Amino acid sequence: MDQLLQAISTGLLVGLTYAGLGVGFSLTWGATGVINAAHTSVAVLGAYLGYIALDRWGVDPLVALVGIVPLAFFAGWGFFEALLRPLKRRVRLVGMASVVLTLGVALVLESLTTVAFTADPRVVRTGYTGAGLALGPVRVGGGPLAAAVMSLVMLAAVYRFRQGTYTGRALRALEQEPEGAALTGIDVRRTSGIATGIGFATAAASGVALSLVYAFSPTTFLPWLVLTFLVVILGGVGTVLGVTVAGLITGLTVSVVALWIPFAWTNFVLFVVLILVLLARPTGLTTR
Amino acid sequence: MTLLRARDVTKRFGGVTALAGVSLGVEEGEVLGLIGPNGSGKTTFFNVVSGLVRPDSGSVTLDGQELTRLPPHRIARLGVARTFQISRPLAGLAVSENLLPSLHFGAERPREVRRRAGELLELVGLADKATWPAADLTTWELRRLELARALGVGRRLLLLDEIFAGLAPGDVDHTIELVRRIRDLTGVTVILIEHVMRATMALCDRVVVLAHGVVVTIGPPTDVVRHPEVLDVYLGTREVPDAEG
Amino acid sequence: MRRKGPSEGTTWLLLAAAAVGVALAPFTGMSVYLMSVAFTVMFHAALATGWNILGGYAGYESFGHAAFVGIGAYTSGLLLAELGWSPLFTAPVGALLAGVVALAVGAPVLRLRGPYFALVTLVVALAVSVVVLNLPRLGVAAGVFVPRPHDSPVMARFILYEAMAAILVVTVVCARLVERSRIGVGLRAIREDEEVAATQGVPTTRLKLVAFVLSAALAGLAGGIFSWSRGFLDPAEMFSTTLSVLVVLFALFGGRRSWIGPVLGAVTVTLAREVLFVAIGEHAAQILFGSLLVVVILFMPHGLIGPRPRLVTDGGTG
Repeated sequence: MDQLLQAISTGLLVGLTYAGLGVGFSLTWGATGVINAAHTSVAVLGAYLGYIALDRWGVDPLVALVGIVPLAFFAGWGFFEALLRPLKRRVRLVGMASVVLTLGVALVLESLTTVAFTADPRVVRTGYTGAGLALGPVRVGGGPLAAAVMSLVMLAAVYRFRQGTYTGRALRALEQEPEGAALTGIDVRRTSGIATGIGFATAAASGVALSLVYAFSPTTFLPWLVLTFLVVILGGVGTVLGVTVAGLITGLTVSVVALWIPFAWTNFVLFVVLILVLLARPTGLTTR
Repeated sequence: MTLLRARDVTKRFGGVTALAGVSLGVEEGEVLGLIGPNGSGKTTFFNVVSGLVRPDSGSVTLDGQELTRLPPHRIARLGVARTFQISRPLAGLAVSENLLPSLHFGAERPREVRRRAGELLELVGLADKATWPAADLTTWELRRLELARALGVGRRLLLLDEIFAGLAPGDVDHTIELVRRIRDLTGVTVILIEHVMRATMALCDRVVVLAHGVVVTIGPPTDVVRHPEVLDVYLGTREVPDAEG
Repeated sequence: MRRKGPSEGTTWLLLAAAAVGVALAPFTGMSVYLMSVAFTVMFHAALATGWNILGGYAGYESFGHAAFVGIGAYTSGLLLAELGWSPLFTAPVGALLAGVVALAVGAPVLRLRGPYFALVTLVVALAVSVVVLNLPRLGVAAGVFVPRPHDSPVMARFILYEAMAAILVVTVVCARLVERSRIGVGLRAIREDEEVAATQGVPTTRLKLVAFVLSAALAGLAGGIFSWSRGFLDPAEMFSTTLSVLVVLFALFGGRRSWIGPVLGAVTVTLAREVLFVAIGEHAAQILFGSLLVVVILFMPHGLIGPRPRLVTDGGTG
């Protein structure tokens, strides 16, 4: 029983970080129609930046977010202007084309990071990553806890943004009605740029969060990408709540299932869950 | 002989009841008009008959064969064809290529497909545009392409969804002629959803009036337009107006 | 647009001539290295052409093609390693197994559209690889040793070359037959507007499944010969997601309307990567390659063979 509780708590914490990873991807997809396969490459970059901050200057990666997040945000906005917007003007259905384009970017980023940082896996060790917190029968790791808290704050911030600001509501309008939104006076270009910026910013922040839990290297972008896909497909595009729930489910499944079956099969179980859900609801858990 | 019989067809979408116990019969060889205000369930009825939508209850039979549990392609194979309110050409293909799926997979299956495609294009007046990309056609031309496509599929029943909408008066006349010619040549049964009264009066043997998913009345066009309930549904009045239509 | 092309008979003749030419090429004195590169090029071309049957003709872009390559590779490789059967027999068995898996997986997965289909196939491929690599009896995860086609490296390479050439010919023939048949008409209708296609009598579910199974079987066939060329079956290589992505790239790059596009795309991209790799090293090559991808997609989104894009005037929807 204790083992189960332990697995559940770890699963929930890790699930929050997965959700954080997925939310930006979902945002970009919903607002621009672009499926950003370089999303987790940005996350990996964020993880490296946080690592450097710690290694070079002794700055905690979470503190370094103060600099990383704005940097990523503007990089994302610029990315939209430089590449995504031109792509949308040339292609009728931007989905597949954007996958190819962003994959190209992901490949470039992978090589660049390998050249800059070598292929060695990196581990972030701060004062709290090794520590544990005892909550009743459960022992919660410092790293996962910090990562989960940060992700939760981030998810809440994105949610508030979407509900409470003009741009956020414009974003939601754009997701629901890409063609009609422009007619209501929404600056589609600016909203899309901001959405992509938020996508990059949350990706980088999630990368930092994940670095507190897992080791990473340039090639980590791929398994993280699969996770992102899982969470977003399961949770649905353009919904923070859906993505959060999906993240929690994913984290829980991996954690709890690992109690009974060999680790190698946990991924398989996840995939089966995904297929089953999609069969019942072809557009993800939250019907749109 | 009744070709199509709908019995008590009901369809709800969430809180909205699109069809509420619709019953009607279509005689073989007739042109039946289906009129009513927007949102009265006309296109939903077509969707049910063509198999794109499954009704919550009721039955639709073609020559005695139950349609409601069949997938769309099987219904098409039985000779039921439809056009769409907003034209949906296969945009990435050429005009003549648009007819290939219906000829290869529909009810007719001619041996010389290309020749038959040419004939159909000739019939609707698109023969000279056969090699054009379908995406480059005008609205009226797209309507006629939909018609040709439907003819490629359906030998028994044509469901035409507002093919006269937005056409210039001259084009309306030409299209009325076209439908007449088709009917005379092939003896196909037609159900016509229309708002353009001129076409409805000119072509239809009988007219069904649908409002809020319920059949208000069925009868010859001249009777129907004077029916007090119909006037009520359309105009909110029970008196026959003096002016035409 | 209908192009006035050569007649049906002429095209088959040209294809046959090309096949003969490819088969005889090694006799002009190709080095082992060249034959090896040609092998990879033909392998990629076969995969891309097979993928295109569903991905290009029907518009269902799968990102999990490597799963079927892997199934074929391991089936064929294991039968060869354990039982000593000839790959000329085991590769078709691999194709059969890949087709069966596609049949099982296809029914639910083909209900999804566009990006969902793409992402789910990626995930399914990973699931398949997990299953194959962890099946307890086979001991696959540790790696499988496969006997070489021949003791002499030159003969070995030659045999592999001819085998893969045969696979490529078979794949192209299948693709072309589908393309020109009723099935091709139906698949193209599905790509343009699936709902309309259904109302025209096209049995959409059945056709998609046929295309999926055929393309999977062809991938399994190629995989069977591929595993023969590797003395050691490395799981990472056999089920490589990179390969799945590359296959999509080949077709996207070359054009998806006909079988020619994927072949051209595979040839150009594979050669480009090989040249870059040798010339400037792995990382620089990938950077260049990734950048090329971006540039090509922006300026030729329909690939080499497709129509030139018209700038979509969108009135400012950004």
